[in-house]
Amino acid sequence: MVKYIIKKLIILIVTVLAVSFVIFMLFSIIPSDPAVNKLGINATEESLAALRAEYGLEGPVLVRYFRYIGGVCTLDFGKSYTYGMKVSQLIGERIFINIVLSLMSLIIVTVVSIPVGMLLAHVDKTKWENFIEIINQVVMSMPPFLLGIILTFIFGIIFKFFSPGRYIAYNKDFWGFMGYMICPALALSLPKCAMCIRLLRSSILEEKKKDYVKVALAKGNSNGRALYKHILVNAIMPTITFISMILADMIAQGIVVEQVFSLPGLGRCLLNAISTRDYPVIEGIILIIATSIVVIGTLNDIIHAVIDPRIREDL
Amino acid sequence: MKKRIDSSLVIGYVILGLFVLFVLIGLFYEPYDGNYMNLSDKLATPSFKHFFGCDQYGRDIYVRVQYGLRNSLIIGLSSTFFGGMAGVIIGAVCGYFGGVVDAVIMRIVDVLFAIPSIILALLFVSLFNSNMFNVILALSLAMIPSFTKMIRSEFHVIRKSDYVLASRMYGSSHIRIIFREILPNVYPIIINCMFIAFNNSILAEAGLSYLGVGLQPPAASLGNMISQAQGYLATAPHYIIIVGVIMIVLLIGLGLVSEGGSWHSAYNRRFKN
Repeated sequence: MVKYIIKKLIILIVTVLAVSFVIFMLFSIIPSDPAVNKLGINATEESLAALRAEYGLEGPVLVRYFRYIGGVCTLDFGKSYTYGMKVSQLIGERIFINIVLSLMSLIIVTVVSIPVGMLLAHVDKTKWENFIEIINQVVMSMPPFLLGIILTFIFGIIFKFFSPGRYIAYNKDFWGFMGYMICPALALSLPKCAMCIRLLRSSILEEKKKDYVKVALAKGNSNGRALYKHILVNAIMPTITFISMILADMIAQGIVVEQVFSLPGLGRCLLNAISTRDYPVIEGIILIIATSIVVIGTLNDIIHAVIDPRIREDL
Repeated sequence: MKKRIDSSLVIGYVILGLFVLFVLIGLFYEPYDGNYMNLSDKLATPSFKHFFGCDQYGRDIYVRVQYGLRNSLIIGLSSTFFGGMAGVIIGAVCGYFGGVVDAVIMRIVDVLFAIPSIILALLFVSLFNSNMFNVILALSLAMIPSFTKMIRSEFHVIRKSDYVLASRMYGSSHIRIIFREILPNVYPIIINCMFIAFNNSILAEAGLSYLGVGLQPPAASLGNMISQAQGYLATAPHYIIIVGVIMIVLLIGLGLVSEGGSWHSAYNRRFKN
């Protein structure tokens, strides 16, 4: 088990290093000199060299890469070209919004979809089934940003629960901020909830047909106990994998949803950086997102191994 | 149970067929020029003159939607085709041969897999310009990992089966076995993957152009129309309703087709290995 976790951690580190290498290389091969961009073509050679040294642009690519990685280990992502401040500071101010958004959506998905999926597996073959299927299909097909606009329209403009586009900073009014985040989190999580409910329901129905359920019932287990102790343990496995994939997807989709609700998170920072060609910021943000996705994948594998004895024994 | 899956599949194909028909009609007959601005018709509501009304510059939304759908379909189809092809070939080679090549390629795929498609596309567009070609390239690249993983795990299992061995004994080459013996057996999975990928690429394209980094105006796309319409949410709700409903119906159609009963298994397989 410990060996398995260590192996997974090594793969994690290698993958993150590879991602950082690819991203760094991509940005170093493009012919663009930020020092010239900033100071203009008439700048003197000394001032250009000084600025390059400040941004860490001198030396061969590999040396720069290792310096960059060394910096990243101490959470130093270099210096932004446009803002003139450290990228880590820039990201640090904004990442809280993304963390709250992702965690809130994750909580909504888990809290809503697991009970509802179990409930719907019970109401199998009733007249509700078709109705639920249709609702599920419609919600599932909604892109998060469109759902965000619909939620803004319903709750912001018709019911006036919040004022659209009026973001409340978390360091000013924390609970107001949390309230404002509910709509973005809903926009992000509702389609995923629908997918998750369907997945859990279909895997419960599939497991129900298997022989071990018959054995469990024959031994005198009640229906409910068979569901909780026997079926759910097996049926939840694909759902856990799916939730981890969803979480990764939600982190990426969050960037679009941020724009709908004009949240000043990493997404807006990334878009600004793209339009001003502020490469250290782009690198830093993409690296953080990619790292979090790799970490989620690894956690998923480890959780699987912990829960499922069949995988555990194989190790 | 069996019957219901079939009926949803049929509904899905009908929806997609109608969309294709709608786009094809646009190639032969356009009531207006989609880029012609008529400011007196600014934000006009739907009428017989303009079926879907007009946008904030007085452009006909019906024609703009047609343009947008055409662009979405072109981007979706070509990125699915190229990305899918590349993914299937890489996955087939990795799964069939295994060994060092497989390990190295799978690490690279893991790296690509770690960067979400929309971020990869953003990265691409930030490095190069945002035009249709680059968007297609970025989305195809983003699609390769999931295809590769899926096909690889299938090939990994099938290469040990008896009929492959039999074919080897007949003296078939590896290439023949991959393409003529094994590939037809994973065909349903590839089709399923393709629909899911097509769905994702349409979503990603809409997301990109919603962010303003996909197709650049005046080119129409569902995403940038939604982002424009958002500004007129309170004053001209018909704009967002029409574009939004069209987008949702398109995605529902795609969802129905891509499911075909094996949606669950498709996602299950993806992480098996």
